[in-house]
Amino acid sequence: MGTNWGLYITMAGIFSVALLMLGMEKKAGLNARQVSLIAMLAAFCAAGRAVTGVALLFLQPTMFLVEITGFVFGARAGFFVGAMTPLISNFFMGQGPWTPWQMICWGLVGMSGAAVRRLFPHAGYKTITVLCFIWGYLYGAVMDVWQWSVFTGPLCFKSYFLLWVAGFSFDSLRAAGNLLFCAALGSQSIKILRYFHKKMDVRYLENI
Amino acid sequence: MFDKLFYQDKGLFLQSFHPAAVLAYLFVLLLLSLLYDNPIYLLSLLLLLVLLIKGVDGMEAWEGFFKAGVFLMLVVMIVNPLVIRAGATIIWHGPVLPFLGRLDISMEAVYFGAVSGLRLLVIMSIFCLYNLMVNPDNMLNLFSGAAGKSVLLVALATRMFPTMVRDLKRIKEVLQFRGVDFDEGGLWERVKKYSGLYNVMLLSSLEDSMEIAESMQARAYGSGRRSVYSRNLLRPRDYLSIGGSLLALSAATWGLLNGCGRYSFYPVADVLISDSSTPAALVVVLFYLSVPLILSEGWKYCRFIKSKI
Repeated sequence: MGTNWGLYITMAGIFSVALLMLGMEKKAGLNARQVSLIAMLAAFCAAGRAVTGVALLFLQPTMFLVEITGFVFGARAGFFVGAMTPLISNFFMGQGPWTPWQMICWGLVGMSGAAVRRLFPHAGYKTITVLCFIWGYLYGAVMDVWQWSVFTGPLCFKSYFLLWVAGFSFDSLRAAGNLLFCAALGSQSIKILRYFHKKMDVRYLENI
Repeated sequence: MFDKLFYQDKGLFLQSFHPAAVLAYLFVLLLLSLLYDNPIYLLSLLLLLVLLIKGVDGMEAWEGFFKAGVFLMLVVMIVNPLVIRAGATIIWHGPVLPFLGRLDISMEAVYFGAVSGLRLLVIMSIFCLYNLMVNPDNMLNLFSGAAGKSVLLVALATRMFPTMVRDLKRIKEVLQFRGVDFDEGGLWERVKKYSGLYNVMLLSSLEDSMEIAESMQARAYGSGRRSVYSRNLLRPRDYLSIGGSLLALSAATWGLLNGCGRYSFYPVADVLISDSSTPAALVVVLFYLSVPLILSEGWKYCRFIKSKI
């Protein structure tokens, strides 16, 4: 086969997720409230992914929450919650070489939420819903790259396209699930998370 | 039901390795499973893994992995020939399809699919072994020096996960006692009922997280530099196993540079054993990789080895 792209892509996934986590951690300087809130949201998302992932196939009430976390709490919190979600839920669903790429994808979902807030400060849950729908397909497309590089050969656009077509129904299910859950639960979740965002934001007044 | 899949401390010898040694060993195994193309090499890695999994008393857990692996193997075997046109030995001429061209199925593509499936099975077994061999807390502890907060996040979230599932059941029961029937009504009505459940869950768990933060602060989290202590010792068995892993990796690299373990499927599949160096390289790599297995047997049957490691 010549070059072993499967190996390179898997290794690139492992190293980039490790570097991203390390870099974000050093930059973020998390305090106790941020740590426990991020951990709790990650556990919440992971539970949502693992519990409903088995029962409802690909309809998971999870991706939109990661997106909203990024939207409300910013890129770093969004990335952490996103990256932790597959890591934690895979402890229960099956850890594998696919985990690093899943972590990157979910982390990007969280960061894209923060990007939405930066670009459209007045965006509401409708924008998030549209983005969630797109991510349903985008996530499948990115994960297909990993699968394609490891398990198929020869690597050409046609084989990628076929793999993508094979997963299209699953991707559509995921996108539809995201759309449904975000439309039903999005606006309340934003309210709840904003409330906690305010609660967390402690400022000390000096010289009083 | 899932208990069998996770780490349980059974006091077995194979569970007593330092997490760094296990990580190095499994990393080398993963690397080799991705580097090797020759089916004989992959099969012998699988055999070694099965012996190790037997050593950690995990055959029951592995059976689940095996079934899932065989299923995925069949999927890859079916999808692969449909996609690939590179094989020379055509076993079935199919119809012409739009986009894809003529649907010919070649022997080599089926073969490649089977070997890809075998590789998948090896990879799944590596992760099965990881689950059974290392205490996850010790593994996380290994990284706590470099990335303390990420590790804390993972540990906290993993600990919350079962609590979360339990809370979900509890809150659902409470709502049911109040007269909410989750199985009744159309899709939209059900979504509304579940959204009530979801809101309560989210609010209560975030409130909990604030309490956890307070208790962390009360225990002086973030008041200064983090102190680290570790009780994990590196024993001779760990040095031997790390040495074995490194030697296996270098022997495998040398072998791969000289073509041992490589294999080409297209246009016509290679012969499995091209010359005497192919099995020789395999035996050397397998010997270095079976260091933990040999030590484990020695621990059982040889007092001298037991006293030294």
